[in-house]
Amino acid sequence: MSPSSHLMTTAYLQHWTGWAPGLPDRVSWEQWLGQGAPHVAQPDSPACAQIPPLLRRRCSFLARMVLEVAFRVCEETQTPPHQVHTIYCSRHGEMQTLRTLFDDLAAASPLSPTFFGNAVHHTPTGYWSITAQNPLISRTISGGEASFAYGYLEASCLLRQYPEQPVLLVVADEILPEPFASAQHSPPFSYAVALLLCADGNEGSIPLQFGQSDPGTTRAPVYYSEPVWDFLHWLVCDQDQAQFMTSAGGWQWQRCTIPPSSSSCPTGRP
Amino acid sequence: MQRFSLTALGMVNALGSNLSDISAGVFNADTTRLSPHRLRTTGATVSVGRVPDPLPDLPAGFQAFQCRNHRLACVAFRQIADEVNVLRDTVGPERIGVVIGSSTSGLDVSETAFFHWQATGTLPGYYHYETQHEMGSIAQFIARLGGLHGPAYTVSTACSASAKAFASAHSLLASGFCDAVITGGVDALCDLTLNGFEALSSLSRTISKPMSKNRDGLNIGEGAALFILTRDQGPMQLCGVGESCDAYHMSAPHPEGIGAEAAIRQALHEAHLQPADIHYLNLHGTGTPLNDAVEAKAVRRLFGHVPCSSTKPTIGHCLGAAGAMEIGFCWLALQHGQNGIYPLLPHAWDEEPDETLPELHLVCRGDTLEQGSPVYFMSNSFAFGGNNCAVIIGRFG
Repeated sequence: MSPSSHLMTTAYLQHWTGWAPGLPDRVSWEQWLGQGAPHVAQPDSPACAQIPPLLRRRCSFLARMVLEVAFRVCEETQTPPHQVHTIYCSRHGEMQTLRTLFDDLAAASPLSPTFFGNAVHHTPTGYWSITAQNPLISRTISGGEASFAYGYLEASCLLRQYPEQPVLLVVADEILPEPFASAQHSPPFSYAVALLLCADGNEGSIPLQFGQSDPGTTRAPVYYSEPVWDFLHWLVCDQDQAQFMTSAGGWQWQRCTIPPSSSSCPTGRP
Repeated sequence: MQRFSLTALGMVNALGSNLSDISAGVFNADTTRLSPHRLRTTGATVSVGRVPDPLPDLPAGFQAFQCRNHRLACVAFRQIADEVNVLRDTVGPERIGVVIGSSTSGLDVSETAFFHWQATGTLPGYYHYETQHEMGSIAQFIARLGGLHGPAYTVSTACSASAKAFASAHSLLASGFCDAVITGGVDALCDLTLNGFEALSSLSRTISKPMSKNRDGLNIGEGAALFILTRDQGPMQLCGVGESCDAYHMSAPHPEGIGAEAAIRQALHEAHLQPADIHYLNLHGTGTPLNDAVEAKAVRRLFGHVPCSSTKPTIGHCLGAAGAMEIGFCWLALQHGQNGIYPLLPHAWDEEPDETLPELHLVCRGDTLEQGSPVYFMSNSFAFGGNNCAVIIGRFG
């Protein structure tokens, strides 16, 4: 039973994967999360074999990371990449691209059209829709420290509205460039994480209830600067903990052991 | 989809800082409010839709949020603040969300801070990236202004952002997570967007002329448009939102407008309407050769001769705020209707049709619509990355 009176919705986490320099796949992410030791990122770039070389060269680094995990999470579940709704969330978006353009602005030099086109917050989703040939709903949001929770909230809403369509939820951010890195919140290394969420479960998928948490309730310990890493840590390492509250506060996840169709597991699904 | 009410609107743009001045300008297709601006990179002079009125300082306690973008938001928010206060007392601050479309957030402050850093080696003391420029900050700022504790985040898909904010706001109400959502868009003029569109050769050297044979690009504008979306059964309702991707090109629309058509069809489907049910369409109508050619094809193919217009030449293309601004114009036209007669928004241009485009029914100054209830207006927004959105609002009674 839910310990709170807040609305909870249920979705099935079918699969997840991640990419970061030195953490190229899910196995390495699970090892890193399990060790609890800080990760020292080495310079690296995602392969992005699915992107045609000409387009790949134009992609921002953030877009490459996003497409790497997006294609992988689809491939590993045999989900056609053109048949998912996409939610992308990023606190900082294309700050690295903006930094390059700031140099040109400061020098009063004409801007590169490609760089300007890549400077919008939803850049990775443009490359994703083109490469995956995906014409469906694609939303890009940014909500500070709670960006991941709001992205998950958007995904839950889309699953409720269109239960037949899986939702690809991608969370990604880059190290902020100088001079913005020194003064501000910047992730310790650039990363992308993709979650594939469905309204109905199949073998191997994890039913998760999601909703608001009561103000004042104890938050989960914060291991990482990125709330999505804390979420994955809970998923991978805290098998006996039924509940997870994001470090940003206000939102919680619960493992749901009883099939949501059962009346003893209250859900917000229609 | 379930219909929700758009109960209040606050707006600021180049035409003015209140609904009465803005109405006077937009219903007269007044393009005289745009002002000259010299571009930093090429030195060319272009027209921009800068808000001419001095913007008020932010309230005490909000100094870390200080930037042009958030001050524009403040001007629009003050127009709906009384309604927000009543709502907060009725449903509770935790049940009211904030979903705002923006492409710039406070990007202009990062520009000046960066120039300062290049010159001096330090960031200026007034600079706070997280509360001024970070994309989520505009939604968090508005939530703090209103004392609201529901979900607060920014939708950022460039020129479709604030149209898509209505889709997300609708989702939060339909799923039961919120009882009301402040939604809309805010964008501020800055060097990056102005010089970026210059790099794409997309800026007009005069005033944009949508659908004209002389069209030569767009003007950039700025401003804010904020709505309250609630569960109430008011006369003005959000009826349908359609979202799609071209899946074609990063910066050019699909030549046949298939993505635009898909978004329009989806909005009609969500609203349980047919194309013939739409009484007026606010075009994306940027005035670039390609956008207008593609949009004219899609609109003619779907709607035939529906009255339509582009209002962008009156305020400039407000990018991340454009969708909400133009839904705001539709809301004003529906609101002004009396005894079944509605003023339509005139098409602002040089009245020189492009014979190579499919012919559209472009609204002239003074045109009205005689129509019994309900009345449905639609607004189109298309963005970089082939990201499209169409929104339908209606007046009932």
